[in-house]
Amino acid sequence: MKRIFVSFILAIVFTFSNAYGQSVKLTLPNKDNSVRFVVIGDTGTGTEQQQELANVMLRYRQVFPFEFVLMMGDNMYGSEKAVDYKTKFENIYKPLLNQKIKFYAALGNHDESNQRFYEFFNMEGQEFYRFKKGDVSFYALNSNYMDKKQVDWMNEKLATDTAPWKIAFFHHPPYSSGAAHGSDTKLREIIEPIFLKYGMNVVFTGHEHFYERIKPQKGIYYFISGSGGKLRKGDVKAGSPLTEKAFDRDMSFMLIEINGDQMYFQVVSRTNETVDSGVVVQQRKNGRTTAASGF
Amino acid sequence: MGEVANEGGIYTTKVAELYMKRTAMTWNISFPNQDMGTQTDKLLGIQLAFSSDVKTTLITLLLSVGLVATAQTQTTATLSPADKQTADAFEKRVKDYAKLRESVEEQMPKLSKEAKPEEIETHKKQFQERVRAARAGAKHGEIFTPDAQALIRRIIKDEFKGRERAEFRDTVLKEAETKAVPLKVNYPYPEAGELLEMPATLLLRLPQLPKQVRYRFVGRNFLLVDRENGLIVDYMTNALP
Repeated sequence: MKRIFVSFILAIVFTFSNAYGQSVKLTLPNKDNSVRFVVIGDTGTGTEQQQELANVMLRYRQVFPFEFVLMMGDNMYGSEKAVDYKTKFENIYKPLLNQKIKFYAALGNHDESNQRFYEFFNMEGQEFYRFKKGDVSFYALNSNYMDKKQVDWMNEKLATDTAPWKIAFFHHPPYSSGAAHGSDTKLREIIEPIFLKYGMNVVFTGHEHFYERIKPQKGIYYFISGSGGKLRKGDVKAGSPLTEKAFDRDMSFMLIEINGDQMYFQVVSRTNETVDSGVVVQQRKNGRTTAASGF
Repeated sequence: MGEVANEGGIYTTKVAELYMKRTAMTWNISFPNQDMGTQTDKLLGIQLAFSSDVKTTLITLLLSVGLVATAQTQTTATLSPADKQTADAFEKRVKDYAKLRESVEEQMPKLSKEAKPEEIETHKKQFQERVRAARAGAKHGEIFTPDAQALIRRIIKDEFKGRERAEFRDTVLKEAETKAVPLKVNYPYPEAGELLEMPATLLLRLPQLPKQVRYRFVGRNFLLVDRENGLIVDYMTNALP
């Protein structure tokens, strides 16, 4: 009887430690007046692994109160019936939605345009849109269909944008060390001159099912965070001249904190391992882009 | 332009510098939020060019002009009067479709910008049914007429050359999850089918579409698809060389 009781207690302790016991190790300064958010991409599978990663996000939310989440597209793989919105998104992130965390989505090559009407994607019925948080302007773009209308819109909005930080997020990476996809050079040919012209500071993308921090390109910081629901293990080309840091062994998400002229980042895996962290300094003030320095 | 690996992470590579100068000259830009040199440098790339090594910089300038000219040729389709007429007529036929589907949608309850998944699903289904009924007699080739097809094939062929063409063919023919897409006018594009990215440089050269209609590659075929109801408006075969 005593042995059964001990086993029972041990089982409870083991279960509890698996679910909640792993401590979170925050490397970000977590200041009161910061803009705090999460970056995830290629999430929409509805798998157990996506759920596990969401659970880790939730744990970090308890110590790092991020206000919103940027989604890099491929928000829903496969069918997009009403039930899919639930199983591939709502159920997975329910605790965060209950805490009024806003999700801002970009569209990927697996996403229908109608997602722009979905209440929890906050797209205001638009495939490309802008919103502001503190000192930061966020540009959600539709890299799946970069036509003249969107190019004109970007030029118009950026021309009058005086925000100190300008951040773009979309699905296809202009720079990537992925073996399966790689850099989207056609897209880059069109958007990079616009980014340079108007001083885009940071670009977040997905599509590649791994994490990669690209060496600053022409003064712009590029990050790929595309393993929020799918993983392409070992896909980052070894020795790629673009890579500053990469992680393709498990799924991950990014925690971001912007305060003054600094943007801090921490990348956390599904197994609650911090796989990258550091800070980038806003290009305008120090006169040049420096490599992100790790903590 | 190749990819620029930034050694040490500092913005100092020669290629990157040349690109910035070229950009400054070509688009006549300043860098209001991106300090990469002195104020003069920022405002006028040409002044940068004469700063230290005049000879090197003149060569750079000539090369840059050449590169820019090439880039502009590639991204700005210069159409002959006949081609322009063909493109205009094609655009008009697509606009006529857009008008028809707008008139159908106006009679439906408007979808909220904060819609529930059930509302999105229902709206799409009803929209499909009504447009299918309104276009019951639609036939293959009504919008992609033979002259429009010939023009579009030429533009696509011109856009993808050499290795780029091979890579794009691989993406479209081998990797894309589009095998279930039916090649039938007025039929829905399957919602589980991948919506393959349209190359941005190609989109800027093709005849312009109203926002409701999209170009899509499916295998070697080229489709016009309604972005909301998902119906295939028309298609042409053998578009990809």
